[in-house]
Amino acid sequence: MEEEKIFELTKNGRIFILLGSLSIVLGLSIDNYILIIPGLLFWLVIASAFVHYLTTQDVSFDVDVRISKEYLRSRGLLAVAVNLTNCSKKTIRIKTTLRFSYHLQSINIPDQLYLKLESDQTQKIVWILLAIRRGNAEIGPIEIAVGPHQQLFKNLRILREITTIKVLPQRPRINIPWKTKKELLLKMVHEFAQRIRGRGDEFFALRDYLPGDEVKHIDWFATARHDKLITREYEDERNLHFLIYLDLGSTMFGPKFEHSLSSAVEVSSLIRGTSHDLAVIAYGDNVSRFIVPQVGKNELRLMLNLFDIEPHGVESNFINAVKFTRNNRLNHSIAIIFSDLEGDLKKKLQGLHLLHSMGSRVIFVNFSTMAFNILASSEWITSEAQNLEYKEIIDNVFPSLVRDEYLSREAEVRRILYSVGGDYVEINGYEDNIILSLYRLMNKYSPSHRLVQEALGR
Amino acid sequence: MRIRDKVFEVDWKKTKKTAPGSQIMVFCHHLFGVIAIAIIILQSAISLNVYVFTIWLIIGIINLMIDLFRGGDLNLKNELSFGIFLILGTTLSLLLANVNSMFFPDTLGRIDIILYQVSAGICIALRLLLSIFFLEFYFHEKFYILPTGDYAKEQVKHYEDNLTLTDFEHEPLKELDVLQKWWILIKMMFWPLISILILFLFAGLYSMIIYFIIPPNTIAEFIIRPSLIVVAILYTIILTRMNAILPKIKDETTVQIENDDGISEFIE
Repeated sequence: MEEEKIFELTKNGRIFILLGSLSIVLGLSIDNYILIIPGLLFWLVIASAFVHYLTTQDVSFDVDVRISKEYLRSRGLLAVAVNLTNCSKKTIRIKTTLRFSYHLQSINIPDQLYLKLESDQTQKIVWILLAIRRGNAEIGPIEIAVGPHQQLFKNLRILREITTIKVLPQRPRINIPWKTKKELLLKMVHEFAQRIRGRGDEFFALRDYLPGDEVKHIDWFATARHDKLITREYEDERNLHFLIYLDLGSTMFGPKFEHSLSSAVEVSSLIRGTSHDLAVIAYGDNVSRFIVPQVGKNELRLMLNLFDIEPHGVESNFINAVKFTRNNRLNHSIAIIFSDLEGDLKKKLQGLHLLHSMGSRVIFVNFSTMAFNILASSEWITSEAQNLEYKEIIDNVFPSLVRDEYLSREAEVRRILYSVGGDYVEINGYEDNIILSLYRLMNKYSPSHRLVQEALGR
Repeated sequence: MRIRDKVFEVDWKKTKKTAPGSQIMVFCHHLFGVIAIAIIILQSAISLNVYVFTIWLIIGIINLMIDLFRGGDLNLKNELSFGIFLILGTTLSLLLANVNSMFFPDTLGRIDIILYQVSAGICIALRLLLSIFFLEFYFHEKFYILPTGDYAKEQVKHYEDNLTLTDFEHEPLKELDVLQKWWILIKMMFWPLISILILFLFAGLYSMIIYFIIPPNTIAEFIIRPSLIVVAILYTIILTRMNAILPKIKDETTVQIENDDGISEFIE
């Protein structure tokens, strides 16, 4: 790989030369050794950098960089191997620096290493990096500093090759077994699929016409063939159409948003390998990203589409997202809204009735529970609250005024959701999980646990 | 810090790479600064000039404060400000008193004055050298994280195990130790030192010639020093011009080679 040579006197170096010369000239003219001696050292340092440059002009390296992954989940590990070969005939001492963006952190060894390379010697360096932030992480360039005084005088060989790594949302804390997810899905099908009528009722079989059957269901071709009235029999729609609304408004920021994004990915893990489908609408003031419904979509593809999404600075407007849904005819779905109770509540809830009129079931998932709010409040940051127990924080740090406001907003949301037949789910901090919350919700709906157990047994 | 970060900190510990002796070096740096300032203040006190003494006292305190507030983080700007304050103090004491009141007090002999000044100068130079060295090898960029929690330790161990017999297999690294680093720094200064000495030798020769041409009387004193000043200015010009000229020379040579190739191809 070709590397670029850089040779320049930095701003500091220029000031160094001028200051050194000034002190020498002044010192000589007034016979003051306090100025002359440091001035001479200034010169010495700069001149040594020049001489070193002249002697290492023909030094070049062969650099081979390999990165073990193209994408990984946050808190995952990644290895970067760099093979450094000294192509010159000298033994040189170098400072090698691997630059990478703030999404990553180096483990066990620092990103800067001081090495000695003999002529034609190859040194292999392996950095193991931990992904700590979601987003587009960059690895590169690699800088090899030859000789000392780099602060004053840059004598670098730079491999300007930047590799972009996708750091996906974090893995959930709790690993939920597949059996639980299946049970939840069965309950949802049992509860919701029957209510969703009209959207593509599936053909089951043909049978004789009986009085009371609808005339429009008579199969006229079959009737002509058999010379008696034959009707088509349908079965209930058993597929769920998940539709996730991801709020990108100004109130959804930081940990709250990260958690909601991870939750969206987790919901998609629920339907992996089934015939249910899932679509995602990420909306701020307007719809900013739409992932079309896909059957049995796996989480990875969803993550690769959603990993670099960031909340906007403006307040979100739910009605625009719902209008978008209507225009795209995504009717009769289970709309799961990942949002919070902060900001303008009217803007957040306007559109629920429209959604209801489109035949959708609404589940409002509230991320603005106390745990998240405390983390976002300024008091948390300034006070000594970090060292307190969680319960103490809820009681002392969280102001009662805010708590009352919060409770009244919650009541308001519950009231509107009741009017559209929707459900309200709370995520209580990081230890809570969207799948478990939905499970709790479904338990409330279907007390006939036996039916589900039977279905699982089959 | 958030709860999530708290969980992160249970597993991972942010660590700073400290080479042996870095704290000693910071301490020595501050110590040399204090000694230099003390010598200068003592010298200005002996001069029996109130203005000069006051100026150096103030400047000394400012420099000490800068050092103390920076703490263990040595900085090049800090060093430059130290130098600028030194020049400022000298200029101010030149303006407010005359040259003699500070540097040639009647109570001191000439040898004593030179001893004072040289010792202060050496202290400042050592301080500068230490800070340059610190910036070179102990700077703040050397951070990394260590797995401390059980989960993180296992995670790293499994990952490293999985990398064996691949391109990413871990190999032992041998980094330079402190003595080797010091040796590079001092070795680099050998040739420049000689270049400066040669320049000063020429200046000395020049002044000696003049000294022999002109009759040895009052003028001789005024010839050696100006010649040294001229040399200093010349050397500065050389240093600053080198920066501009060196890359250009390199570019020109590469361009010529390309031209030769082009012509040869054209001829063929």
